[in-house]
Amino acid sequence: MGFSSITGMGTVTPAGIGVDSFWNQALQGRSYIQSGLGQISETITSTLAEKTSQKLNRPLLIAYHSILEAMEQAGWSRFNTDDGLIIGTTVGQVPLWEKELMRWAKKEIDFAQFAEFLPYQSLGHLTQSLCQALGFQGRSLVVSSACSASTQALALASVWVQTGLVKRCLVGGIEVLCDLTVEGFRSLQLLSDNVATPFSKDRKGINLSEGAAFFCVEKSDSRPLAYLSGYGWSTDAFHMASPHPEGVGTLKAIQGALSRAQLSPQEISWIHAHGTGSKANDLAEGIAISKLFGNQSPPVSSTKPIHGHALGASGALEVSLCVKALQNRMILGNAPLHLDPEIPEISYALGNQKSELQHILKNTLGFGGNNAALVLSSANL
Amino acid sequence: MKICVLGAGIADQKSNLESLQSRPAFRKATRNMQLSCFAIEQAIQALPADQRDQTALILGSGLGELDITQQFLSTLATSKMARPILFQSSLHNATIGFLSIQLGMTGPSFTVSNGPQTGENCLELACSLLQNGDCLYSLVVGVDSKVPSFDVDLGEGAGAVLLTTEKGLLPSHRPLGWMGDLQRVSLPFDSAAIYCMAEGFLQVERQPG
Repeated sequence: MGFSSITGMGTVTPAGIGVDSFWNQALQGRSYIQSGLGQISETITSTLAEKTSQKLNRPLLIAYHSILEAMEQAGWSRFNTDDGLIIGTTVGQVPLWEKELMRWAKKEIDFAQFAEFLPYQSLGHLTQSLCQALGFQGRSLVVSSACSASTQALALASVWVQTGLVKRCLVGGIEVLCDLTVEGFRSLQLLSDNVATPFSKDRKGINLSEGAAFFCVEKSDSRPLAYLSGYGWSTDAFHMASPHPEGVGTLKAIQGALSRAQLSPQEISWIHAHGTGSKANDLAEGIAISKLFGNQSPPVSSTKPIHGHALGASGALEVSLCVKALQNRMILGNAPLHLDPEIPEISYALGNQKSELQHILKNTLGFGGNNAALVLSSANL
Repeated sequence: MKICVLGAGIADQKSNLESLQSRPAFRKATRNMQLSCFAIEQAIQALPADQRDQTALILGSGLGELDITQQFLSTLATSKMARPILFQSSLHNATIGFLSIQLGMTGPSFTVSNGPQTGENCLELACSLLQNGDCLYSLVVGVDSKVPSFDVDLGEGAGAVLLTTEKGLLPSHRPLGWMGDLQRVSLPFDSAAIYCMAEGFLQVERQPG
């Protein structure tokens, strides 16, 4: 399996419209987490709506505009029937129907009134609506593997393009905040009301956020922003809501990614960790990194204190930062103030660092035990 | 590279799930989890025991854990209480998380949900992964279930197939058939393609000669 090329990318995040706004926010180390959440403002969504002739709901609007940015950068003026589309998401369009369901549960409306919103529950409805808005008629797939969804989606895009199943692939993730996930994670005592502090001794939990990131992926002979040079995946088969405490599954996914990229651990320039700020995740991930890299790990950091955890879209959003990092030769640092003694010694990126980045390992661990890792490589190789 | 079907299983309204439901691990299992496990246990018999980490597990569901999501949100709405056990079973990939634990599957796992295309997507994904060498076996299961409190006629059932290429075929295996073009039969739930495919292969097996 060869490399695949990322030729275009686009994001919409609480930092603003476009990858540059997201990158600059991260580069400046400015968190957009408020009261524990990262929310795209009404100003941003209104701006997006004004730029759109079609009437799109909020999740579609966010996804659509990140796609347009990616396509423009890649020079894709339109879609062909041999193109692919892979979307990673956890909740899709939940906000469009969950409030109505709760009104029905409280008997404020009858079932027939609620049922008008039920079609939004289907993740296929999201895809179909997006395809309609884009004029897309090729092959599509929706992956809903929680926090590893868009990482898996990117890996699958690479498979599709390399095996010739599609000629080009539009791939990414979209996630929006909703009561289901906010109250759900709160019930599991996994949320922090303050900015998350991944890998630190006193970490209190995660910050949920929202956003979309999409990429244009083509075969490796195209002029890339970066290469997608390896992927790995595994399942913990341990617990529905916690990773394997020894990081067994995530270690396997990382090893798979390095193997497919034909790289040794020493060739990784930066590990962009999943690093959510939850006790269990950071411990499992830290142990896995330590097992593979020993005390010679490349700089490790998580950028989630800046942008929070966008669940199914997190992998894609963070890959966009990795691609910008490769282009700008800059590691985004975020070292914990107080190291957790339970996490074996690994090297944290203490702050932003100029670096001749060649290969970045992007790691994700998902609810339900899905693990996925990617290797992103510089276009200057 | 040809893909063969090593095993198939289905679960529908005629299936007796009591033997599953009596197991302690299934005490809190959702309907999707029960149906899919019932189908998988028929399909998986030909999978070598030491190959669970070389097997891709692919689950397709049009509606996901809609009933549990409904229960979580309804409880939140009426009693202002968010029940964690409901939440962790409400996400689309909760089913596959449960199955991976019960079956000890540590290879790649994917939850696919793409409306009426779900079943076909899963089968195509399984074939891609096998042909690309990402796994030696693929266990594909499609499942959807009713939501008892919803006044709407939703279909219910599960179908599972175990696939491999010639690389995964052992002398002891008796393939049920070989993958050809997918034929859609209209059934009232989104994971239909796998259900009807599983049923089709089971019928082939049951025919004499």
